[in-house]
Amino acid sequence: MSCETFEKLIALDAGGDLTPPEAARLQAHLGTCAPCRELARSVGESQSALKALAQAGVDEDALARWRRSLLARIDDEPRRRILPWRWAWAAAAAMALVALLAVPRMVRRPPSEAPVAHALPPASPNLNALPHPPQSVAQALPPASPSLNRLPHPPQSVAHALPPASQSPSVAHRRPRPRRAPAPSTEPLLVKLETPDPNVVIYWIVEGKGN
Amino acid sequence: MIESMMAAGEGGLLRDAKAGDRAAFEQVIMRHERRVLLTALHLLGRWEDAQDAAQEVFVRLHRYLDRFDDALDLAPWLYRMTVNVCRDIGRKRREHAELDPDAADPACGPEHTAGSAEQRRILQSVLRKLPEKERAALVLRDVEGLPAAEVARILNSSEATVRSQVSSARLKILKLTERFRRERT
Repeated sequence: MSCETFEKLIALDAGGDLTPPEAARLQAHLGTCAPCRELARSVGESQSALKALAQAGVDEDALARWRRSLLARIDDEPRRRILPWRWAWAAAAAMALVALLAVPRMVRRPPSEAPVAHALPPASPNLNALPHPPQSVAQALPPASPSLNRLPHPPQSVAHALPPASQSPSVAHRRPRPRRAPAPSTEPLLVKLETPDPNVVIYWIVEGKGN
Repeated sequence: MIESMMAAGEGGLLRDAKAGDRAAFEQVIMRHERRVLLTALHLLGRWEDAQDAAQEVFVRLHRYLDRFDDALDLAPWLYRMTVNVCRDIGRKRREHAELDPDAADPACGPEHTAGSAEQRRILQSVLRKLPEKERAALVLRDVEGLPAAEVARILNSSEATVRSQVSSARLKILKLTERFRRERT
């Protein structure tokens, strides 16, 4: 190893930046090389002078003037209030999720293909626009709730859900059993909500699974 | 060093400063102003430039205060910003590269003798002749006394690169100082 290579180790050693094996190798060389020992001494002195730079004080008057000037500059400049990054990312992710869920459905099921239920504010469902249950069921069951009326017709007769008339017809009329959910339908229902602002119309797609 | 700079209660001061407490922000400035000013002075070599750089560092701190996590140390960010601002100022003012070693230097207290003041002026002069990245690594490692790993993080570099830069810079400082003294005598 040449003295030129050891120069780099000498410079690192002056700041205590050598690994133990490197330091041992350098010490072995310094034991046999006078010019490198002289270089090590000079670098050590230079290093001490550099460290002394950190001890420099600052004139207190100059410091006070500088600080006054800084504070005046800060007072003139309004602070930039920003949306914290994590909230910005969360908002962007939420918007992307909404777009991913809503846009394909709107494209797949244009409003003209799906039955539309109109609702005018205040939010009272327009029952006329909804499909009616069969007459026999309307008699056998208590009045259906508006939310149930939004569902399409069950494909099978609701009479199957009732106990056979031969068992206890009177009970069937007085105490109707809870209405069984209609069979799943694949047809989605599109609910259109009109707002007082004619430019704002809200479409709500209800999955056609009977629930 | 960084831990010592991060005195207890700084998180509270930062929180208050974020809420618009000007006095709290002034306290933050007073905790770090000497370190930022002297680091800028060692990087730029001119007191006027160092004052401009340090002001810019604290103005940016104030501007982006909302981004700070109160639990994190402020010192590494201040060092990084000081290096960046000094790099920009140094590039803009390269035409004034020649430093007058006899220029007034407010960075001296009564404890400094004439000999040490002369030594400091010579060192500040030769520091300016180092390549920008070597100067930054040397100032942070040797003058500020930060560990090499911390210097690497501040400079967005590797520890091996910092070791290489520091080694080269120490040898150059020695040679430049000897040449400077020969030319002045």
